[in-house]
Amino acid sequence: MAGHKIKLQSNDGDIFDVEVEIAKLSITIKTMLEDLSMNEEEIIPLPNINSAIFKKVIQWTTHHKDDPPLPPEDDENREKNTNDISSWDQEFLKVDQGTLFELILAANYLDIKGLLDVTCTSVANMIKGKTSEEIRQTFNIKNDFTPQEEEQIKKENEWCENK
Amino acid sequence: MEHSYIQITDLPDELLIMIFKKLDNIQLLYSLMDVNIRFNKILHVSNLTNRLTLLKWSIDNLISPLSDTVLDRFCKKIIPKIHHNVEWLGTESSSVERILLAAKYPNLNGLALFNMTEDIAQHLFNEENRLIDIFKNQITKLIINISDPKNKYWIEEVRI
Repeated sequence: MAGHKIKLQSNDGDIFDVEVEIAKLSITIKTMLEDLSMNEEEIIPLPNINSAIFKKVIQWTTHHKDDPPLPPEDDENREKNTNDISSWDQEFLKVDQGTLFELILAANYLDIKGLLDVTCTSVANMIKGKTSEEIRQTFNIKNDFTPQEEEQIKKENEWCENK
Repeated sequence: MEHSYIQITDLPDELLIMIFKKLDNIQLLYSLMDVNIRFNKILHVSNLTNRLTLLKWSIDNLISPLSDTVLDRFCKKIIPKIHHNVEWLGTESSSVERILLAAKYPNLNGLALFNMTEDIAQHLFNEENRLIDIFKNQITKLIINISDPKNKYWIEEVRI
């Protein structure tokens, strides 16, 4: 029923009134409501999501509630054109890296394929064209190779150079 | 909204693979190989590196070889680490010899060669060529694309 709302609770205690139609874009919530017969009057807990991230998720699902479902993706037809993020989504994803990764985790937990797809695409776009050292700097990743492994890499390179 | 301290390395492997699958072979390996041990493991154990396409497509659908710098990095640093995974290789014909000599490819069984010319074919498929054993005994699927610069179309031959 359009306009009918359910209550969802983030892990920091905030309660959100969300239209059922929008909440059901999350397959996880849809399953709770339909298969597990949860009462729509009950407060549904979301133990993996804080209120700041859940606000963003609601913002995204509200904007995309009328989108057609994404086609299934497999290794053969996987989408490689990672530039095609809509201007609304680009604006929506102007967030710090931590928030972007929390959105990915939330989209995965809530099973919202469209949000997961666009957030992963956004990270992939940040990777494109960078060297491994630039990737470490961009994402603050520690180089954890041991000196022996570094030496092994050098030896492999020498082997190639001598061919 | 407060800043979050979650980092890319906090994501589980399944989500990292989902992100990595958004990149093509060249972007994936050029940027992510040798970043850290975990990324290398993901690149090795997932099926992200069993099909290697090392060439450039232009907007008007023309194919050209990778730049020397990029090809150099692949041949010296990347291929020696993933050569066991590679089952399929697609490349521009002028680069294939260099790529195939960069390592042994025990599982390679498919090859696509683009922009083939008569000269390159005569050189590659000559009995004297060091790669002839691979072509004779290992490759079970070969695709050769011959470009016709006058008509701008592809002639494709497939042998299985």
